[in-house]
Amino acid sequence: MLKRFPSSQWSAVQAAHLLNRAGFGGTPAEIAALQSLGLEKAVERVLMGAEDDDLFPLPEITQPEKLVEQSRAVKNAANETERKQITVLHRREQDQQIRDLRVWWLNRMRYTPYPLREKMTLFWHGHFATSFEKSKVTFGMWQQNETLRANALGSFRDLTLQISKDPAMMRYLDTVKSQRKQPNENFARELMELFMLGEGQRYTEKDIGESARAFTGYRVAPATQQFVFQRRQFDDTEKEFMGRRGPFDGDQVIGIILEQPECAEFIVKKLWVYFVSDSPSPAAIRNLAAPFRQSGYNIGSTLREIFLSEEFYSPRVIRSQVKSPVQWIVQTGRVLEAPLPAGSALEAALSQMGQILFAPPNVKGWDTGRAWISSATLLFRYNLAGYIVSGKAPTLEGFRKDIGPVDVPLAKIAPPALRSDAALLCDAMALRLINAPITGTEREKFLAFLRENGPQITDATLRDFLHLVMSTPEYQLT
Amino acid sequence: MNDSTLHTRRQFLRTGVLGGAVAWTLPVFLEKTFLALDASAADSLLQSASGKDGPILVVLQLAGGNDGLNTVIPYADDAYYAARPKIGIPLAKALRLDDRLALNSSLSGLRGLYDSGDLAIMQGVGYPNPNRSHFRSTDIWQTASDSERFEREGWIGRYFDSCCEGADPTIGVSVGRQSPMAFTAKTATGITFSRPEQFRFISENASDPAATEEMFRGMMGGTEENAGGSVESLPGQSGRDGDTLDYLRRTSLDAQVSSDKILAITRKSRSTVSYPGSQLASGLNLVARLIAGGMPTRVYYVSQGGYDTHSGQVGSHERLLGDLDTSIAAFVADLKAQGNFERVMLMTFSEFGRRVGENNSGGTDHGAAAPLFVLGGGVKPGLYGQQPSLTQLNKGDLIYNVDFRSVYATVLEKWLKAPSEIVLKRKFPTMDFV
Repeated sequence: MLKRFPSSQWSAVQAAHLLNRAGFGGTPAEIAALQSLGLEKAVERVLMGAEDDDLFPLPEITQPEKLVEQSRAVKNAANETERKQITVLHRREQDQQIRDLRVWWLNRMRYTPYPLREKMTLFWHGHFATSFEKSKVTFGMWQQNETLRANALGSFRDLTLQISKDPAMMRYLDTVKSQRKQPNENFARELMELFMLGEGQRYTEKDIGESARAFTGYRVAPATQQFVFQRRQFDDTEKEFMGRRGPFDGDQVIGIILEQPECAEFIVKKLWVYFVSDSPSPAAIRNLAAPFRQSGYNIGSTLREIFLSEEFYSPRVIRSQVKSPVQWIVQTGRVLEAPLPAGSALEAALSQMGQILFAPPNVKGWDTGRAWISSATLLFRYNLAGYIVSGKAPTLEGFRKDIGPVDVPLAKIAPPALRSDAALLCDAMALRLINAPITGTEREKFLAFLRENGPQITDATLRDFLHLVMSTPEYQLT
Repeated sequence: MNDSTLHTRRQFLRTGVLGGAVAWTLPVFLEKTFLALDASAADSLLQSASGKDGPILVVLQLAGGNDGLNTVIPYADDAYYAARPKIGIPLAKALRLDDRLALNSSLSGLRGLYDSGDLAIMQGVGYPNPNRSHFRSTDIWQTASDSERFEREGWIGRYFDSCCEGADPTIGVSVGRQSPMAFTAKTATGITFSRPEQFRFISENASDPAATEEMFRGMMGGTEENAGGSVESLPGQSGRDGDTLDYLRRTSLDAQVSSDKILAITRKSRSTVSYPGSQLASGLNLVARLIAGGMPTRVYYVSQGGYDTHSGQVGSHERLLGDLDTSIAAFVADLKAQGNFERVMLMTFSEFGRRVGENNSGGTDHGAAAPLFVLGGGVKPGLYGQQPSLTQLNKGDLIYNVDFRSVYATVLEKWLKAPSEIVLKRKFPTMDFV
C-alpha cells in the first residue's frame, strides 16, 4: 500500500492533475465537477467505465469473409497485370480504412466520458506494440484494439494470454510462421524482453529458444480471422524453461512467467512511468507490485492505488510530464472545447510529431518523455497550435490543401465578460491551457500584448495570444 | 563584432540556460540584437568553435540489424552456403572484392569507391557478450558502453560535452524527428529536423504577425523570469522533475537560434547532383546542402530503417542495400562537386549482424558481429579486421574481432582530433583506416 494523499488537501490542482493524467485533460467546468466529488469519489469516477460504443460508430472495415474473397480474386487473376491491379486496389482500401480507424479512435479519446479506458488502451497499444505496416490488415488492428480496450482495466494475465493469440500480434511477431521443426524466436523474445519481464530479467537466451517451441502451432483461420491451434505444427516435446521441465504450451509459458516476481514489478514500473513520473522510487514499485501479483494482476486496482497516493499528487509530479503527441492533440481539443482537426490533418500532425497510431516504430512501442521533444517536433507543436487557433486553413508542409480551419468556440471559452479585462482573460486562459497562472514580468508582457489593440480584446488578438501561450515549453507538459 | 564576442555571447546563452533561471534575466532587447546578429552573420559565425574547414563526420545508422554476411559475402567459404542453402548469394551474383570476399550486387557504388580508394571495410565488428535485443544493442552502440553497463550519454554527446564546449547547438545535426541517443549529452544535444522550410516559428498566419513574432522571440523559449515570475506559483513544479522543463526550454532556445541560419543556408544552397527519391537520399541531400552552406556542424546523423529481415529477406535486403548504395553515391558525387569530399567521413553502423544460419522463413534472426563501412576522402582504403570464422561460433553467431569502440576511437582521434579516452571513458586501440 502506498501512502494516501490526504483527502482534506484535495483541491482544483489535484482534480486537474487527475483529469490530465488519467485522461486527456478537461475544461474548467470539468475540473470543478471532479473536485466537488472529493478525492475518493473522484478516483472512483475516473475508474468507472460503461458501454459507450454507440457514441462511436465504426468506420467501414473489410470483414474476414470479404478478405477471403479478395485473396481468392488475386489468386484467380487472369494474368500478372490484373493481379497487380487488384492487389493495388485492396492495398488502397486497407490504407484508407486504417486512416479512418485512427480518426475513429482519436475522436473516441476526445469525446468519451470514460477517458481512462482509452488512455489505458493507448498504454497497451504501446506496450504490446503491433504495427499495421507489416500485415496491412485493418480488421486485425481493430480486433486487437477492442481486445486491449476490453481488458484495459482488467487482468494483465487475461490480456497477455489473449494477445499471445491475437492475429495482428501473431502476424507482427511471426508466430504464424513458426514451425515445429524451426520455431521462430521473435514472439518468445519480445514476450519476455518487452511484454512481461524486461530486458535480461530472469530469463536466458536458452529460455527464449525453449519457449519459442511452446508457441508453435499458432495460426490464423482466414475465414474468421481468429486464432486456431494447428496441432501438427505444435512441438509437444519436453522443454526446459526457467528451471522447469514439461511439454509446455504457450499458455503454460505465460503462466510460468507470471509466477516470477519481476513480472509484476516490470508492469507496475511501466504504469508508474506512464501515469506518474520517469523516476519511480523502488519503494513505490515494491508496494504496488506485491498486491498487483496477489490480485491476479488486476490493473484497475493498481491504478486506484496510484491515483489515491500521495506521490501521485507530489508537487514534483504535477505538470512535469511531456505530453505525447496523442495527448497533445486530444487534450488541446478538450481544453479548447474544439473538435479535432480534420482526418488528414490529424494524420499529418501525428506523423510529424512522431506518433502514428497502429504504426509504432517498432515492437518496443514509442519512446516517451523527453524523447518526444526534439528541436523539430517542438517547433512543429508551436506551429500546429498556430494552425488550430488561427481560424484559417493550414499552411503547414504535408497538410492537404483541402483542409479547413478548426472551429475553436472563442465566444464560449472567452465570453464577453472576460474580454474587457486583460488580467482576467490572461488568468482564465492560462488556467484553462496550462492549469497554472502566468506570473511576474511574463504576465506583464502578455497583458501588454492583449491590450495593444484597445480595451476590448478582439478574437484576432485572442487567437494570437492562445497561439503564444501554446508555444511555450510549459504547454508541452501536463 | 569580432569572433570572440560572438563566442562569448553563445557561451553566455548556453551556460545561462544550463545554469537555470539566470538566463531569463537576459533583457529582451539584447536577445533580439543577438538573434539578428545570428541571422545576418550566419556564414562567418562560429567558425571559431568548429572551423569551417574542420573535419565532418556523418554517421549513418542501418536500423534493424543488417545482415553482414549477405552484405560482404565470404563466397570462398563452403560453410557460408551450407548455412544458407536458400539465401546464400553465389559469386556470380555478387561483386568480387578479392579471392575470398564479394560485395552484394546492390552495392556497385560502394564497389566503385573501394576501387577508387575511398572506402574502408571493417570486418567482424562487435563487442564482448553481445546482446541480441535491437533496443539494448542499439543503446550499446549509441552510448559506446560495455554490454552490461548502462550509460546515459551518447558517445557523440560526450564528444560535444568534452570537446565542443560553448559551441552553437548546430554542432550536431540529426536528420529526422527524434534525436538519436548517440547525441544525448550533458550540455549541447545538437538539433534535429528534416524539413528546413518548416524548421521555424511560423507567425505569418497570425492576426498580427509582427507582434506575434516579436512576442515569441521575447519569450526566448520560456516564460520563466528570474524575479520569481513564472508559470508557477500553484503548489507544484520545479524540483527534481523540473529538469524536464529546463530540457524543453533549452531545446526551444536551440531551435530558435538555429532556425534562421538553417533556413538561410538551405534557401541559397542547392545540389547540382540528382538524388534518388528515398528518405535516406533526401536526408543525405540535406546534409550535403548544409555542408555546402558552411554550417559549423561537426557531426551529422542520418538513418535508414528496415534491416530486421526475419523472413523472405533476399529481395528486401537487396532493395535496402540498393537504396543505401545509390544514396551514398549521390552524396559522394555531390560532395566532390562541392569540393568538400576531403572534409567528410561517412561511417555506417548497425546494432548487430544476423545469425549465420538462415531460418525457415527465408530470413535470418538476430546475430552479433558484422562489417561496417567507412568512406571519404581521408580514408585509407582496404579491408580491416578479420573475416570471422563461419564454423567457430558463439551460440550460432559470428565472433567479433574488432571492438566497435576501436572504430569510434580511430574516428575521434585521427579524424575529429578529439581525445578518445575521455569520450569513450577508456583507451581503445586505434586502427589504420584514417
